[in-house]
Amino acid sequence: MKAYEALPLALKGLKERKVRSALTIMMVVIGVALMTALNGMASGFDVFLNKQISNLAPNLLILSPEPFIGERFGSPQGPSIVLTDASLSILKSLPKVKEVYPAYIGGVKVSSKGKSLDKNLLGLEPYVIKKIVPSIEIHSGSMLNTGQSNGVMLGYNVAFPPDGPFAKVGDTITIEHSKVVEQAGVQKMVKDRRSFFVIGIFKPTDQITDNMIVVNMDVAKTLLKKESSYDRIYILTEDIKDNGFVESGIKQLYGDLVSVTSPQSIIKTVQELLSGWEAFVASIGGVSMIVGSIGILAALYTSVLERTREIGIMKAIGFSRGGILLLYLSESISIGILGGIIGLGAGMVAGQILTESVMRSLNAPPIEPVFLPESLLLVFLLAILFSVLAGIYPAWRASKLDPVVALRRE
Amino acid sequence: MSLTNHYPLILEDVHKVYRIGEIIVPALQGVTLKVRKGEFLSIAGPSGSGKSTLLHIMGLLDRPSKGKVIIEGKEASLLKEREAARLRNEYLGFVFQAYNLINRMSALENVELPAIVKGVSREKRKRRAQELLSLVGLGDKTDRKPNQLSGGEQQRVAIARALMNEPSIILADEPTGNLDSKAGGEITKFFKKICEEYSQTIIVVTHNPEVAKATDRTIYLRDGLIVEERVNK
Repeated sequence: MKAYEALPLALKGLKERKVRSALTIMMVVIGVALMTALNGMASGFDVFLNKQISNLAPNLLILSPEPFIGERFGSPQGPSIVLTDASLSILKSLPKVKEVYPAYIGGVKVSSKGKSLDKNLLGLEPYVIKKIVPSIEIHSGSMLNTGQSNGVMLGYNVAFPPDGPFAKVGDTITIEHSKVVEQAGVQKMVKDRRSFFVIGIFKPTDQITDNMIVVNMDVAKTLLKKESSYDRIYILTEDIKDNGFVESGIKQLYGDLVSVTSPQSIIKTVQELLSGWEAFVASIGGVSMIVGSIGILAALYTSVLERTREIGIMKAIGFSRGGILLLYLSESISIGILGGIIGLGAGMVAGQILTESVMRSLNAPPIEPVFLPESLLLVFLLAILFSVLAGIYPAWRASKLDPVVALRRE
Repeated sequence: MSLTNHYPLILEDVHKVYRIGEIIVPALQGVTLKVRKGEFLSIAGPSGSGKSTLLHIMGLLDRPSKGKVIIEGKEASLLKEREAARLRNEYLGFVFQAYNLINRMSALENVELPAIVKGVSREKRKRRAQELLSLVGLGDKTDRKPNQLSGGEQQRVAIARALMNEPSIILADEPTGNLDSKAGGEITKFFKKICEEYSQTIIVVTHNPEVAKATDRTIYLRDGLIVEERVNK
């Protein structure tokens, strides 16, 4: 028999037992869909986070004071370390450090034309933006000048939130900052508000920058009521290779009083998280594939028992052991192929829904699942592999039947 | 014409012993037989005489414990499983008492099956299957499934299937056993016809004296031995 002749015969065999075949295919569909959906979500995260980080300068280290321990218990006592101009000089003098830039950061309420948003205000020398986010570009307007105290730059999501434009270049917006201060032993909420012109709007770059409002450093210092300490120090090393060296230098200097992050360390953390996730996905997918293949095995084995007599006829007609083996393996491969195709489709739909609902429940920005052709192919091949493995035993049993005994069976 | 072409089937001192646990059951105890080309041969005998075992051995579904089975000059008892399967496919056609058609396939597809195994092209085998079904008088029922056909019709589909690969020998095991006398008589007549018109060698195992009488020669088996041989007129 020519191998391709086995397929139509196998499909006829499956069609004869419609319900059983459909249920068996369903088992494969579930396994494949589960793997596809979870993989798509993991790849979506991966792509999203890499995109976020790839916009930051690779030789960047971000230093911020660790919050004072008391703050974790609800008492706003400020940071545990004070980062001053002296700190800047010390950091600058560390070997392999090229440049250092301080910044202030704080939450504000920004209002325009009756609408208001809660965003972060970043205060730094405007030219520093380009240093830490090299790929940033201006969408409209122009770059804020150093020392310009009545202007702001808006991140793309601030200017154009999903529910419609918030402000455009030339508009006046109000920024309000509230701070709890202690006066004569009484805690009091102090509000400060100022008006600004929108000088420029950044192009969409990444989640952090897109949600930022940028002003000159002095403006942020007064508005946010900062006293002696900077909130961030951006450190550019001489080369990406030196990041680790500089980081350990900083740790020697300040110990656990500061935290140092770099695009690399973020990538590393994310990758660790993702590889954990991927192992989890693989184990769930693997288990469901095994369950599916046991389903195939059970279904095929039952049909071998039911068709004992038919196998005897096939042998009388001239099917060899190999021919019978091929026939039954074709049935299980058909189940794998059908289940695989339907499963990939179902998995892509499920991945979309799953990713959306997970991101919504985490209140996180929407992430698109990513279905890489190579991982789709891998899942598909796995489905076929598992179905072949499941088919081997029933097919072997069928091929081994003694035709005389098989024909005698009523 | 060589000698073996005169005898598509030769059995030489064929023995078959079954072992059921400790007990040894001799089913055939030395059967020697030559079947001529175009001969219509019947094998008769009481139940347990070894008729079916003999037919299975002639059909290469079973192997003799001792002795030779020679089909078209090839010693079949020495063949590997795969080669025996090929010989069954190309030289032998089976007709069973219970028709043994495959229920999910149409009459045409059932008839085609041996040609699929042989590797005949789709177009060619469809055409031949159609011709054979017309030959057995079912040219208008090729799309019917077996359960939409009467017993006699099913058996005729089975005969068409047996003829598909132009076999040297047709082996029929009680082909009229499940049929009424009219349908059975038609099957026997049809066998006779293809025997005479196409020089088709046919070996039929039967209980039915009517069937036996219609054949050229009848051999009687008892306890695994040929005890009588009769040439019918």
